[in-house]
Amino acid sequence: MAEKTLKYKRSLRQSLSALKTLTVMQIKEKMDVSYLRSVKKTIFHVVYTVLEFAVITAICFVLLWAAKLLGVFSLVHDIPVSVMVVVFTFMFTLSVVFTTIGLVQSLYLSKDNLVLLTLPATPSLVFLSKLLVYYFYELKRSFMFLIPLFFAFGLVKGYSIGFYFWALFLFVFISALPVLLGALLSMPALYVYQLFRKVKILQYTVITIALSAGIWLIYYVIGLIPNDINLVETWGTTYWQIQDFLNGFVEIFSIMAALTRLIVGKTIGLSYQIFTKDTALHLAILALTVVALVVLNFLLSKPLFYKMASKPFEYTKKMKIKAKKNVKVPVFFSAIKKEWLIRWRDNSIVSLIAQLVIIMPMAIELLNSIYAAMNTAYLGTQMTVGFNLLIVMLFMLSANISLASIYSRDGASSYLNKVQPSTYFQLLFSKLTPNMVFGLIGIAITTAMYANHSSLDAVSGTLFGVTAYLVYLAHMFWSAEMDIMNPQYEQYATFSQQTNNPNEGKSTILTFVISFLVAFITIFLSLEGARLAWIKVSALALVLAVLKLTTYILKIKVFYKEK
Amino acid sequence: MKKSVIIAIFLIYLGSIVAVNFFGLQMKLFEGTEYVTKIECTGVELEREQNNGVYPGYKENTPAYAFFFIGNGADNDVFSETDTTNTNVVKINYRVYPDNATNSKIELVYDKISTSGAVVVKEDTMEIVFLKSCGIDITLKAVDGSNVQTKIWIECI
Repeated sequence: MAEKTLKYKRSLRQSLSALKTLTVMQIKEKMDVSYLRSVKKTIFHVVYTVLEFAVITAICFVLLWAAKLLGVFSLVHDIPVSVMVVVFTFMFTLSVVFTTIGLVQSLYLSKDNLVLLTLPATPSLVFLSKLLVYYFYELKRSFMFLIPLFFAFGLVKGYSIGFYFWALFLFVFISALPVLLGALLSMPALYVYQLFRKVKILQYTVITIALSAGIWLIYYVIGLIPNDINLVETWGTTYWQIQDFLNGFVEIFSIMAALTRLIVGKTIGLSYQIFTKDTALHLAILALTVVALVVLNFLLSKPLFYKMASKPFEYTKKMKIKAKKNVKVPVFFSAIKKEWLIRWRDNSIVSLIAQLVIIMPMAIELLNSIYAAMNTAYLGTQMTVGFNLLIVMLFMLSANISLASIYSRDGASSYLNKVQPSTYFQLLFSKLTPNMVFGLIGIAITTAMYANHSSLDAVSGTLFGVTAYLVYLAHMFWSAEMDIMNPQYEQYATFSQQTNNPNEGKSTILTFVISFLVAFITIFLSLEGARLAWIKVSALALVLAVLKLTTYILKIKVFYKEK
Repeated sequence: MKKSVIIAIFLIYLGSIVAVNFFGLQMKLFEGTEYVTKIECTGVELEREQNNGVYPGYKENTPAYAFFFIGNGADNDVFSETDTTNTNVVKINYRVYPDNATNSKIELVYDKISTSGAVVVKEDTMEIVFLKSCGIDITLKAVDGSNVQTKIWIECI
């Protein structure tokens, strides 16, 4: 008996050690933990993280305090719990959606599964380690928004210090929910993904229907816009509409409301209480839900994970190859054709078209329909022009963020860029052509839609589009340049998706900085005169685009130089 | 696209609409005061989680709301004003018509002498704290000079 217990303890210790090793190994791939090698860097990282947390909490506090002061959500200058329910539900839903998409790749389609299963660990441990990696990532993301938001709520309401420890304790459980739900939802998501890959016509049909429904919805919403939008004047009616929405939302999403109340407690009598008679019950339900989801995942998702992970992908697909006559084209166009085929087959071109050619013009149409319903003064008109440029820039530049890893995504095949019978520039530039083409189509459509509403004349309107496109090109070359200078080939060789690519982070920051700068410069210069402002801004954008193209070419010459 | 980028773009999109609406509109000429025409009490909420809530009814054609008093176990069953364990607190929910009334503030009018030591009325939060089992006539009155008011009866039994 004692020997059996000893054996069991040894086996448990070995399993936990294997699980820890697997999880740490995968976390090192997914998140940058190189700072742990140096004490100085670790301290710097910790201080930076704490500062980041404090800044986000401060921003949330200011927003909530302003809403409380203005009485936006309550006649008695308070922030009702229903507001937190709405925000929490929205963020939770987004987390579930994004985690599901990530887990489909990580659990079933990742190249490292074959390697992980050869390690001395059971498939259950490998599966659990993958969920743990996403759990830690979700916990880290909670620290960057949701937890600061709840802390800010506590500060605004004047909660005691116990609330903050209680919220931190609860988020240990709450962060597991999107991961576990995502793992369960990843099964039907995988089947849909594989069905779409096999039956392309179905994919195109669903995408066409979804986009058509989206366009119809936008025009329906435009039809609902009242003739005169004046929030200040109609605040009485708007306030009650907000209240009706909040109350209705809490009624429909009662589970999320109960979860939110578990975190923030209740006002009873003259004081607020975190722990009420329902707290123990709700906490037990939450813990049991987490346990039940873990069990369900092991019963349902894990077998599918093992089946997909142990399937050799090279031999299962029956290739239907149709013989075609070889057509000789110039090297450059051959490279472009290859890139477009790759982007078409992995569907990245579909999301690019959706973002730049469909969603951006529709969003601008809706925005300007709302602006048209406002009786704006001169300042208001200038603001609408500036905001239109800002939002167009944000949509366009955010489509370039993925270009900051365009060359790294080749992973182990990246060496092919150096052995092709072509100049490096032609091969590397060809990867940027889809973004260039769809960016141009998107801005052309958007400018035409904007011109319907705008007070700008034809020349200024054209310069609006030209400015946006030139800045888009500059950011595109800038992002691609980052990937040339700091490639992440090793990460993409093992993981199909790198979630902590430093180049994509820098490109994201540049997206917001450049967008705000361009919009600000435009509004500032337009005080002199609209036509002159657009000429100056377009000239600046042209200089920037030419500069970034030059540095892009120079970086290729330096980093792809044969030694 | 990353989740954080989508959320940031969405917030900036909404913020632009609010910013133009607050700072960019033409000035409007003052067209006179819109007076309150009606005050409606939409309900009285008991701010505790015990099952027995507030029971609506009528007392001599006046809307009435009753709930059960939970005492502090002392002989006279009277709470002090600062006692935080008192759960006999109700909140008055109301609505003012029209929605665009120039001044929609209201005041609570009640007999302060006969209710002294029995209730505490908090006008800023629209709460009434019952220190003992009793009833109170409360009038919700508009302060914009329209003299519009509505009366309710709240009883703690």
